[in-house]
Amino acid sequence: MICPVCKIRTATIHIIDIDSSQKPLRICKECQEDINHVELFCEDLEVLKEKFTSNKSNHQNNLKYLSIFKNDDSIKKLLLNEETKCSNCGSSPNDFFSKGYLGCEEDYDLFRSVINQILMTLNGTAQHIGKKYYKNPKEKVISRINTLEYNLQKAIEEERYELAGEMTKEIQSLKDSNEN
Amino acid sequence: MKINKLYKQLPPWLMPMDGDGNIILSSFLGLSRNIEGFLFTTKLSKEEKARLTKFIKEKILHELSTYQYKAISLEDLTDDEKSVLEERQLIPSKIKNCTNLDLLINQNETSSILINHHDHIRMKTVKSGLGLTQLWETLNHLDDELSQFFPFSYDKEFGFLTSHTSNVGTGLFCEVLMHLPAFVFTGKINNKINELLDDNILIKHFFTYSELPLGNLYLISNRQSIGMTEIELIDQVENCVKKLSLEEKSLREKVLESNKSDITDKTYRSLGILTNSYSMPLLEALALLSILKFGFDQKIIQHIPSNLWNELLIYCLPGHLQLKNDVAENKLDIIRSQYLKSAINKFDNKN
Repeated sequence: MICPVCKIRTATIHIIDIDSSQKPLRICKECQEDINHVELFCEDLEVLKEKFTSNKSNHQNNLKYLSIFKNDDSIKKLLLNEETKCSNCGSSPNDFFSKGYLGCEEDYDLFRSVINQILMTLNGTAQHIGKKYYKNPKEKVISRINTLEYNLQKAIEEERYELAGEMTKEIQSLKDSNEN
Repeated sequence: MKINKLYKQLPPWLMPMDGDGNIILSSFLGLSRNIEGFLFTTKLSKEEKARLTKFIKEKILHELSTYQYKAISLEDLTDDEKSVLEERQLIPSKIKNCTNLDLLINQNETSSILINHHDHIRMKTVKSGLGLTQLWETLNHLDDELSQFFPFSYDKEFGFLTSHTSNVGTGLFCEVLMHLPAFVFTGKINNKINELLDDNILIKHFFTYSELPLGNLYLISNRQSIGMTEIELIDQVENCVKKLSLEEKSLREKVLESNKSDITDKTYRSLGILTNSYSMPLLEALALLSILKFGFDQKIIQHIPSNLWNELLIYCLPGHLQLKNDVAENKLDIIRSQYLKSAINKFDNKN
């Protein structure tokens, strides 16, 4: 029997809900992992199928997808490990799963395998093939100048003029070196 | 920049155009980018966000002076003024409570940059008619220029990094606005339309009021932004739009063939109600305007210039009405009715 949810794989798992009068359901292992059991028994299969196949980019559905991954062993491990925290922005896996938003670019490294899995499920691929963006050494300097200029603003607001002076000097010398 | 100044001109995506501007109304193309070395907007404290917004704004205004962007600080605006920006598609809906957001727009509103919404930078270009490929040329150029002084967050595997995983990769969103009355009249909007759409295409209502769809206007957009090049994503949306447009055209012909007198009657009745009401709710106005547009497009009504529709559509929206008239909310329907009446009668009475 073909799995009625994905309509691709063979249904190998037979689910019976002992407490209710719901019909038994046969689906494949992959779909079973994807679908939260509680949901399976409280909702009509048609509704369920629609939920998982339509409008996947909808933000709420994205969150739904994230909650599905909570059942995955490797992700469960990541979630349970309280020490997993981004050193740059302080995001924890739970922040990501509950809100769906990442905190900084380094989160992409920290949650690489999870994000990869999410993108694979939603789009069938996780490899960017569009516009390429090369960072040359010059841009690294520009990046540093940006951070300094931003912090300079902050230093001036806080009236820390000595620090501001040092930053101005560094910005100028970086700008000079970049032009040469 | 004053919002009143914007009010006087039609938004560029509603500019009347020659040729086949009946079904495909406008194209929107945007890119989300984050600046390397800074936390994403969602992680910033209020002060940090304000500082970063100011920093990005001033840098863009200084470095891209040729674009002649004008800055609008959303913090300084009233709710009505924000509604005007929202109705003109310059800011996303549900943004009203966000703080420390700045918007940069050029003189004719064709190019805009939203700073510190979900991502540090969200640039957008718009035009009337179908022209995503053209818009991409402009946007790509702007993106290149921005990257000169704002190195972007980029990853070899995931592409351009965004605060939400849904548009990581190219960071691109393409949207096309279509008027599909025949799909709705024939009831094919729910079933038939899905057959014509690829998996990667989303269709949603352009105007909704308490989740009710309004005005038979639909937005066709891309669902996925990774795994395809920008050109491929654009082509996919454009192809789908062309398919829908052809189908709508043939449905319109069929509808007219079988019910010409009914449709003609409906069109004139719509015109009648639009010019003879005392109070006109938005819901009704948009429904009637859709039928009126259908009448213009199919040359049923010829004594009124069809370009008038574009004006009627934008100026009957609540934010625009409120800005111009500043009335209590319960009087808005009456003001709308007065506006529609006077705008249409300018032409209608000549005959």
